[in-house]
Order: sequence, then C-alpha cells, then structure tokens
Amino acid sequence: MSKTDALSVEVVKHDDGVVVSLVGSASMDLCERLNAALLDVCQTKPRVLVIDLARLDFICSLGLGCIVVAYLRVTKHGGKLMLANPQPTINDMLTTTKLGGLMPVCSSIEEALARR
Amino acid sequence: MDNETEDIRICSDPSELAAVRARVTTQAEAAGFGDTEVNEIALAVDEALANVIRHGYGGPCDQPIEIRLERINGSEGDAIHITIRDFGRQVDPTQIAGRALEDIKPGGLGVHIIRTVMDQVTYTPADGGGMQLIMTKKRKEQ
Repeated sequence: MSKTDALSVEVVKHDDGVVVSLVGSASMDLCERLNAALLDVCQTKPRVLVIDLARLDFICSLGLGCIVVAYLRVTKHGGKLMLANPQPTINDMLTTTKLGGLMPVCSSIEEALARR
Repeated sequence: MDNETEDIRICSDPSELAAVRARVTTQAEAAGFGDTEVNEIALAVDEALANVIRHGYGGPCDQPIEIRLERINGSEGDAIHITIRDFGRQVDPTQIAGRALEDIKPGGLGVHIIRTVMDQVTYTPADGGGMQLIMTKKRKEQ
C-alpha cells in the first residue's frame, strides 16, 4: 500500500514563550520525530509552550502521548503548556481523551501566549 | 441485506497505517457516515492496528495483519463492521482495557479511544494463534 503520511514540526521562539506548530499527520511512524522535537524544546525550560494544531490533520494516541510527556516536563519546572487552533477532529480527540480538560485549548496562538 | 466487503492485508509496518486509514475513510464515507463518524472510525482502526504492531507483534515490521471492512445495509440500520486479525501474541480479552484517564501519563489511550468511538468492540483469541478484533459502528439516522 502507498505511504503518504508526513509531519513537520516548526519551532518559533517568542518573547512570551515557544510556539511549536505541527503540520501534517502525527501517526505512529512519525511520533518518534514529534517526541524528539518536543523534548528538545522542553530542555530549554520554556515558561510557556504553545502547540499550534491548526495544520495538524491527524494525531494518534501515541502522538497525544508525546504531548502528555511534554506537558509533564514543562509543568515540572513551573511552565505552562497550551494547545491552540485544533481542527474539529483533533478537538474531538482531545475531548474523548479528556486531555482538553488538562491543557488549556485556545483559539489562537496570540490568545495562548497572552494567557501565560 | 446488501453488504459490501473489502479485504486488506498489510505487514506490521507503521508506515502502512496511512493507506489503511484512507481505505477505511473511503468505505465509511460510502456507507453514509458523516465527517465526524468517518474520522472516528478511521482513528479506531489506526489505534487497533498500532496496538497489534506494538503489543501483538512487539516491533517486527514483516508480520501479517488482515483487515476486513464490511458495509452492512440491514433491516436494523446501516453499519460498518471491521475485523482485524493478527497472528501475534494472544492475550486474555478481559485484560484489554484502557487506563483511567485521570492518570496523567503518555500511554494507554488507544483502547479507551476505540471503545469510546465504536459502538461494539470484541476481542477474541483466534484459532491458530493471534487475536481477532471485531468493531462495529452503526450509522445514526440523518
């Protein structure tokens, strides 16, 4: 069968925090890359980490697990992790797994950075 | 009753999952499910296959997985049946459970997602080894 998934992770540092934008699909075979990218960011101990989900089409439970690991690392040193711009399908999954109640979900990156 | 069936055979390679999701999406759309339900069905299949690859086979990418997608048009309503058969490790079906979501940790969400988004989920040890998972999603009347 054809292999069509792709994921890119874009990291932008702001004065107020770090924004990680996920683009594509966070499927099982790509979660290692996601995990490595998030851990790299976490090692900088950001006060605020915003994960922008606007261009994320799909995320599996392993991908959510990577975000949970990042959440635990960021909050361990007193930081905050927030999610921004989830598409409806991603938002449904956040609801199903109750992660949307654990991490603030904002409608824009600006809103997330302002809630620090 | 008028049913449509598609059989898919893949190897236990995570890179196969995107193509399977695409086939499941096509079948679910053809069965008349709405966008949200189509995404839920594709997600459930993805999670089930990921569990087979990680836990049933434990990593090798060359082991067989058989998937059957059945669109059911029956007197009790329309539905999609999905059967996933592997030949890996057998487990007691009563031990297959998602973790409590209040525990904040990275793993164990897959089974919870499957059981939440599908209407019926049945794991059984298969004759000859491995496990068989049958999942059903009923189409809600529009």
